Parts: sequence; structure tokens; C-alpha cells
Amino acid sequence: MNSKINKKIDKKILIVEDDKDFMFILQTNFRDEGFFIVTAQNGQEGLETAEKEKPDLILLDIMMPVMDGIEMAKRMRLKHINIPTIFLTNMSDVNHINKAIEVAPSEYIIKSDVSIESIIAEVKKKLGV
Amino acid sequence: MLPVFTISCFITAISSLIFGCFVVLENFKAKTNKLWFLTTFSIALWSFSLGMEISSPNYSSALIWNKILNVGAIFIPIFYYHFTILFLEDEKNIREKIILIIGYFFALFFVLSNFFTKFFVKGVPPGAGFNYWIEVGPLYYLFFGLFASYLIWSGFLFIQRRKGASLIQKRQIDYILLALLFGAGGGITNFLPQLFNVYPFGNYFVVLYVIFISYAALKHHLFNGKVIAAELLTFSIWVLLLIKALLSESLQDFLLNGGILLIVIVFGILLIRSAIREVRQREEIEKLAEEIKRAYEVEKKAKEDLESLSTVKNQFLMTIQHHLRTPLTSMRGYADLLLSGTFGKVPKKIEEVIRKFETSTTGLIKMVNDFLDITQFQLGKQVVSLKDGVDLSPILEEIIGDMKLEADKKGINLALEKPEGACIIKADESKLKAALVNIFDNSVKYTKVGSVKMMLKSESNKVRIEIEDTGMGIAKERLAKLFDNTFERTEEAKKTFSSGRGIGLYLSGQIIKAHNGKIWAESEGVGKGSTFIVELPV
Repeated sequence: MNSKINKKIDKKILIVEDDKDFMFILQTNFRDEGFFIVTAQNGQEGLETAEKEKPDLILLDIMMPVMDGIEMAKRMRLKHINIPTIFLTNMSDVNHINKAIEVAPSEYIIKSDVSIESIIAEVKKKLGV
Repeated sequence: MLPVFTISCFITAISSLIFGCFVVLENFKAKTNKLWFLTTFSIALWSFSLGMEISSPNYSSALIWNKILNVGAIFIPIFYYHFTILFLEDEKNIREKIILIIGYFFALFFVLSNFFTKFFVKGVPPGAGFNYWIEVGPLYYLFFGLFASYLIWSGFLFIQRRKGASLIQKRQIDYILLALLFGAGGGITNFLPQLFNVYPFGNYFVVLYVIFISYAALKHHLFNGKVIAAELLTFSIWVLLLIKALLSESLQDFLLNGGILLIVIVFGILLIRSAIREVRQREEIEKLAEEIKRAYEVEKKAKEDLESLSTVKNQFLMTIQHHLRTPLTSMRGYADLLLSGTFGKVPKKIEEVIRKFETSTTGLIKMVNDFLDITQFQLGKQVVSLKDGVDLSPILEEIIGDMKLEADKKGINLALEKPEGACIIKADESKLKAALVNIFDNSVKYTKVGSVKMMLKSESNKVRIEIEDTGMGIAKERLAKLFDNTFERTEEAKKTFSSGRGIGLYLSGQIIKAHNGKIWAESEGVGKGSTFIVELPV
């Protein structure tokens, strides 16, 4: 069924996203690119998965039930889990974004503005692959 | 000839009574004025009876005047205290109310014992150098204690209130306190012979309280001073002229003096009436000012309500737009997945449909983003995030590149003039690009033949971007309104491009302003092309 898989990239990415459709799209695209993907549906799950799976990078949604992305990033810092994180958000309010930037010096992606290819390119740049 | 002490008693009595009458006549309804009148009346009664007692021809008449004198003295402190709490608007205070009731109770008790027992006054034997003075009973000491306490407590209340008072109120209180010091202080020395066998020298000072209160009334509007001043002045002139008329030695003199008196009475009445009118006018003005203030507050509240309503509306819009974006993003994502062959090869015909679907979704996402930006600008949120080191050149090149296809289709030329090398500014790259795209896209849309030219000029502390077209132009009266939030479009614009929303220029304007830049348009008129100019600080 999948016509695009041609190579494996030895990097593990944790995607934390509550929207099932967008999660599916991200997961499929990154898998097609050859990444190894683990997923979580909210910050709480994301924190547990990050500790257990030790991914190379986290794609982190901000608005989520149970625990939001900013809170998860703060908790990771408290637990000294230093994993590069790219925030995914559909909030274009700069203040909101800056609040998250204080948490970790991460790149910002506004998901409705940016195509999936750009997200993939950003991830690759960050991981140096 | 009467002794000086007796004269001082009568002067105090008359001046007290006159002043009290003026105050109560000035505003008959005001409770403060009534209580002040009762106080001055008590002083007058006491002072007059004292004068009468000491100059009495026999013991029994002296005793009667002494009993009347005591009634005046008994009521002075309690009326004064009542006046104090009314003046300070303390009458609702429970503590002061209780003190007041106790005071009246004791006053009544003292009056009864004064008339019907010998516990208050035993008799009027000679004393303090007068033929008739007073021999006090045991209750008299209690009366003296209460007399002093009520006056001291009133003084204390005034001093306490003075701290937080307005300037004019402070001055009024100062004179009331001075009057209290001389009036009560002087009056209290009248107790001295009974207690320590000392001459009641202070009686001469009592009249000073009238002077101080009068001064406060005239100068600092205590009891509506201006009217009282006019009344005091005219009445004293009338009295003088009346005496002069009565003392006339001939009929001729009497007629002359009477005539003058009549004229002065007429003018005096006019003077008092004008003073009253002036005071009423002042009160009206104050009332009016109060009403204006209230109206202003109502308006302010209405404005605040409206603003908060507008904020609620905008927040509601923002939430809806956020919720719209998530499924739209997924729609585009699925279309991308289909096109990239994730679900297997797609037939050419279906691929074309998916591309159209993707283009529409992208357009919809842009529209939602534009609306979201507008809402956020209107909510006063920070939409633009400025970063250092943004190079303008590639942005402009990209814009020209993106628009080339559409321009070629219409057969119009696109051109870019810019200096060599980078042109670095502080900007929010994506928002600035969106703002410039809106303007450039506009120029291309409304130009049927000719060209659209973009020029970048670097000046000492700013950069200038000019977008010049040979399109339909803009009428002079429309130029100033192009970037405001009415989202109106010109009739010509509607004919040329019917699906426009009229929000692009508003948004561009807001983004440029958020960059601390300037944006405006120039045009010679309809059909003569237009130039949009953007200036950004370096």
C-alpha cells in the first residue's frame, strides 16, 4: 500500500497531539520519511512516553485536554529530560507562543500555516539528518 | 450708668440673638442652622439673665433671673453638641446618638431640679463682687462636669474631623474651634467664683465667639455666609438710621432721616435679595455640575459595557476561528497524503480533483487566518513578533515569483527594482510577507493592462517599498479610508473582482503599523493607476 518507504532513519520521534486526524497525517508522513514514531494523546501520556521511550525529538501540541503542551514541557524540565521539542499550535497569538518559548528554546510551527513538508524539513534540520 | 460687666452681658446677649436669628432665617429648613440658633438663644438667655440678675433691685427678682439664667446655661453645651454632630454629619453614629440622648436627659433633670429643688441652686447671696451671685447645690458640680465634658468632646470631634477635611471645611472648623475656645472658655470662668472664689473675668471674651463665627460665616461660607453678611450689614445700618431718626430734634430732621431710612431699607432689601439670588444661582450651578458629572458617569459605564460586549464578541469569533482551523488543516493534510501516494497511486483525473480540493482548502485556511488576525488586532493582541536580521530582498523576489503565473495569464508585466545585496530590517517575516502579498495581489487584480512594479529603496534609517500599477486607480476621497476597518470596497473594485472581501488592505495596514511602519496610497484618480507606499524602520 505504501509506495514511498525507501529508507530507514534511525531517529525516534514522539508526537503528542489530541486531534486524531492531524495525528494520523503527521504519523503517516513521518513514517513515510523513515522515522520511528511513538505517540501520545495528551501531556500526561506524553510525559510518561518521553520518560519510557527516550525519543530524539518531540512534536508537541499546545492545546490538549488533561495536560497541555506548555505544562508538559515545564514538567520535563523539572525532571531534567532534555529532548529537543517543536511546538505545534493553531494559536497565532504571539503572547501565547512566547509563553511556551520561555519553557524551551524551540522552533515554532503554526500548523495551519505550514505544510507537512515544512514540518518534516524543520524536524530534519533540528536532528541533522 | 451700668457697670461694664453688666453691659458686656447685654452685648453678648443681643449679638448672640441677632446672629442666631440671621442664621436660622437664612435657611429655616436646615437642621444645623436651627440647632445653631438654639445654641445662640441659650447663650443670649443666659447672658441676658446674668445681666438682669446682677443688676436686680431685690433678692427675689435676682433669684428668678438666676433660675432663668441656669436654664440657658444648662442647654448651651447640649445644643452645641447637637449642632456639632449635625455639622459633622455624625447624627447616625450610634455612640453620638447615645451621648446626645443622655445629654438631653440630664438637661431636663437639671432644669427640673433648678426650679423645684434646692439641690441645684441654694440661693443668690452676694459674691464675685456683685450684690447677687449664686450659692450652688450638690447637683451643680455634676452640671459643671457635664458642661465641660460636652464642650470638650465637641471640640475633640471637630479636631478629629479636621484631619480629613477639605480646605474650606478646615478653615470653617478652625473658626468654630476658636469661637468655642473663647465662648466656652470665657463662659466657664463664670463658674469660677462658685468653685474657687475667682472673679469671672472671662465673661468679656464670650462675645468674641460671635465675632469668630461671624467671620467664618462671611469668609468661609459657614451657614451661607454671603447672605448673612449682607443681612448683618443692612440691619445694622437700619438700626443706626432708626436711632438717628428717633433722636431727631425737629420735624424737618425727622422727615429727612426717615426719608433716608426708607431709601436705605429699599436698597437694603434689594441688596439682600441679590445676595440670596446669587447664592441660589451658585447652588443651581453646583447641582447642574453634579448632574453633568452623573450623566458623564452613566455614559462612561455605557461605553465600558459596549467595549466589553465587543470584546466578548471578538473572543467568540476567535474561538470559532480556532475550531475551524483544526479540521481544515487535517483536510489539507489528507489531500497531501493522497497526492503523495501514501494510499497508492491516484488516477490522473482524480488527482486533478484532489489538487483543486487542496487549493480551495488552502484558500479557506488563509481566509480563516486573515479573519483570526483581524480579530486579534481588534482585541489588541500582539499578532506580530518582530525578529532581527530579516532580509527583505528574497521576500520581494518570492512575492514576484508567486504572482508571475497570474500576471502572465492576464498579460501584464511584473518588475522588481532593488539595490544590490541584502536589505536587513527587524520584522515578522511571515506576517510582513502576507501584508505585502495583499497589496501586490490587489495591484495585479485591479490592473487589466500595463504593469505592476515593485521598488525597494534603502534610506538612512528606513526602507521604502513602492508598489506602482497602471490599474484602475483610486478616487481622491477614498484614499484616506483604504486602510480602515469598514471593509468597504469601491464600486469599480466590485465590478472587476466580485469575490474580494475588502479585508486585505486593513490587515496589511495593521501589520505595517505593528512593525512601527507607515502605509499609504497615492493616485491621480480613477483610471490613472495607483502607488502603494510602505515605509519600515531599519
